[in-house]
Parts: sequence; structure tokens; C-alpha cells
Amino acid sequence: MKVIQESKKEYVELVKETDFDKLDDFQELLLYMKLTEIGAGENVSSIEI
Amino acid sequence: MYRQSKYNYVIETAKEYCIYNTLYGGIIVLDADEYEILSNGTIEKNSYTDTEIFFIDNGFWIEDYINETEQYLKFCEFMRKHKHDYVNAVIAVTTKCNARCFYCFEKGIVQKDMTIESADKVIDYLKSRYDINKSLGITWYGGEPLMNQEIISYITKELCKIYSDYSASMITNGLLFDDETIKKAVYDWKIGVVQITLDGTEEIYNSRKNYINFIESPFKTVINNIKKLTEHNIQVSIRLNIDDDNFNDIIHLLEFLRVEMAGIENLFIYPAVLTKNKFMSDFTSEEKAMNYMEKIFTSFSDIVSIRNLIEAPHKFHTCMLDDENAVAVGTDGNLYLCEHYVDKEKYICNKNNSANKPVITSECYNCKILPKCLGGCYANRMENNLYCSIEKYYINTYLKEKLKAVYENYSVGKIFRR
Repeated sequence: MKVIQESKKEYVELVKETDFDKLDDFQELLLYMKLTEIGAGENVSSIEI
Repeated sequence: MYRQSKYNYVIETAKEYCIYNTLYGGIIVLDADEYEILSNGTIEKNSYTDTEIFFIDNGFWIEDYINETEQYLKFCEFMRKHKHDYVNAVIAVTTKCNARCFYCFEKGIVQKDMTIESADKVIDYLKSRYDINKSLGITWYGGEPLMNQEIISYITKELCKIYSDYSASMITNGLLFDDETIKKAVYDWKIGVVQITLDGTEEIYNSRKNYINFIESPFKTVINNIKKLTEHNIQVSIRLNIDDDNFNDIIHLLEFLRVEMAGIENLFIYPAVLTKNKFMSDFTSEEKAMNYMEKIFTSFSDIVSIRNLIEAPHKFHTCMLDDENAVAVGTDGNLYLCEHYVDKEKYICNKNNSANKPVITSECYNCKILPKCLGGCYANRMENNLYCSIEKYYINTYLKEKLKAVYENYSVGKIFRR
């Protein structure tokens, strides 16, 4: 196996293991902070030029 | 038990398989035996090989009980709910245009400029969205936005008094730039990126753009303006509008640009297939679109690029339509569903878009490109047009080219080998 680029492991962990339906407000805040810290949620919604 | 991720996008080369996980961003190359292991998955066991651990850690293998798509869509919803540290506005300052492109989706709308009163309405709205933690990104749009420069200056000046984190870009045909306008763009309008469309080489371009009242060659002027903009540290994105009629000429254009733009930094060239609209009798099929992209990337990978396709994180908005932080503004100062609908009265929305959600059909739900697209262009979907994200048409070729580049670098040790 040759690895050209590793996956974003933090995403792998958070996206596949979080039970989004069972988070209370505080847990949501913590998760959002963590996701922001690892670079999730880049601003991609404007026209991509 | 682990199975292969639904988002493993596989391309097969002579002896190997290149796998790109579109959800998590990993790219690996496997031989046939390794690929068989990946495809088969595994039952849970006490110990795993290094390769298997890599598959698990990097999301190439997923626990059998996880519904990846559902998890991903919930993640998107979570991000849409929480991320509000920016405001983006696409502002049409005029619907007038000096070009008469046959494919323009704005054809037929009333041509008018934004007035000071309408500009004040925009400014008031964007002021109302201000928060100290928010950045503001403006895309100047039209018509041809350079036909209403005073309003751009006016709005920029007012918004910069409020937002300290301000950036701007412009979608223009580039013809009306001159030395003075470029200075204004840099210093007054704070423009960092400009998108300019090229439809072909000189004769074809001039014919397709069909400019009003222009004597000299518009093509030469635009090429010259592109160079000047980059000299002033403005990044120029050259969008190559391709359809069945001009594809061969686009190849000649790329040959021209390779020489003419050699060594220029801040330049980004990308192909885009024109989609059908009511003004076009025919349109390019998906199959042809992919074929065009392959031809372009195979011959011009040195100058053509797709921004951050591989490196970009997966999306959580389809576009501005489902983004509470993004708005499209018409010349009347009203908010519209998206930039495709500016100044079309029935699409005035004057509310935020938080209630809108991505449109995910069963086809989208099962698509490996979903994390890069999230349902595609709503406006094109409504027109029965090609609505999938552009990545769909060039991901195959892009990965092949990426793989080739990687191998060229391999000898200098840029790749980590396991």
C-alpha cells in the first residue's frame, strides 16, 4: 500500500461515532468547538470562483 | 465487522487501484491483493494487520452497523445549525451588460442599475447581520458589475466601516478594466479574486461574447487585463466555458494560454461545461462532459487545475440556498433564492435560508461524490439541467493525473510509503 494522503482522522472519529440525536446543548457546543479546531466547516457556500 | 466505506472512490490503473475516500480525504494506492482485502472487509478479531488498522483509522473501512450517509447528513445539519461566523453576499449591482452571450441565463430580464436607495437597503441588511465574530465576503455580480462602479465604491466604503474582516471578489468579463479601475479594485474595493470567462481563441471569443460598441479586439484587451490584474496581486480565475461547439477551440485557447501566461502567479484556470438553459437548443451530455475533461486534463494538467478538489473538506451546504449566512442580492436591494434568480420577482425570498435543506434524491444518496456535492445546483435541477457538482465530471481524470504526479515525485521521497 502506498499512502498518497491520509484521511482526516479526527473527522473519521467524530463523524462516524457521534450520536447527533442525543447531544445536549453543552455537548453540542463542545463538539462544535472540536470540529472548528480541526478545521471542519470551511466557508464554502459562496460562489466558488 | 468492517466493510468497505461507501465513499471509497476507486480508479483502476494497469496493475493498481487508486482509492480516494471522498468523505474523509484519504488517498491510497493498492495492489490487487490489498484491494481484495479492502473489498472483502473483515470480521472483528483480536488483532489486525498494519494495513487493516490503516483502513479503519482512515475511514476506508467502516463498522458494518454504521450508516455513513445518515451520519454524514446529520453532521451537515449540525454544522449548518452552529456555524455562523461569516456572512457572504453575492450582490448584483446592475443587470446591464456589455456582452451578449447566447447562453446567458439572465437574458430577458430588465436591464437596470442598482440605485443609491437600493444600495442603502443592502447596507442596512448587512449591518443588521453584523457581529464582532463575523467576517464578511462580498461577490460583485451582474450583469457586468463594472458597469456600475459607483455603487461598488459606495457599498464597500460603508461596509468596511462595520466589518473589520472584509474580503471581496468579482465575477466579470474583464473588458472594462483599465489602469484606474484596477487601482480602485485593489485599494478601494479590496478585491482579492476576479473570475473572468474565456470562451475560445480571439475570433471565437469575440464572436461568442458579441460585445456592444467595441471596436478593437475584446479578446486582446481581456487577456491584457488578466495580466495586469495578476501583476496587482489579484488572483484571476479563468473559467473556460465549454460546449459541443467550442470544445476544439478551447484546446487551442489552452495552448495559447500556456505560452501567453507562462510564469504568471495568481492565475487559476478551470474548465466548466455549459449547462442547458432555455436559450440553448442542445446541451452537453454527462458522458461528453467527462470526455472533454479527460482530454483537457491529459494534455494540460500543467496549467489547468481544480481548486482543492482533493484537499477540500466535505461540504455541509449545497450552496447559498441552504446557507443561513449567505444571500444573493438583486439590483432592487431585495434578497433572492440564489444568484441564478436575481431580479426575478417570483424568487424574492427576503428571509434567511435556514429553513432550506439540501435536496438529496435516491441517486444522490447512493452517489460516492455526495460529500463533494451535497445534491448539486438547485437552479439547474429545476431546469432539468446537469445539476451535479462539477467534480463529478473530472474526478476520474483528476485522480489519474494526481497519481501520475505523485509517481513523478515519488523518487524524491515526497510520498510516505508503508
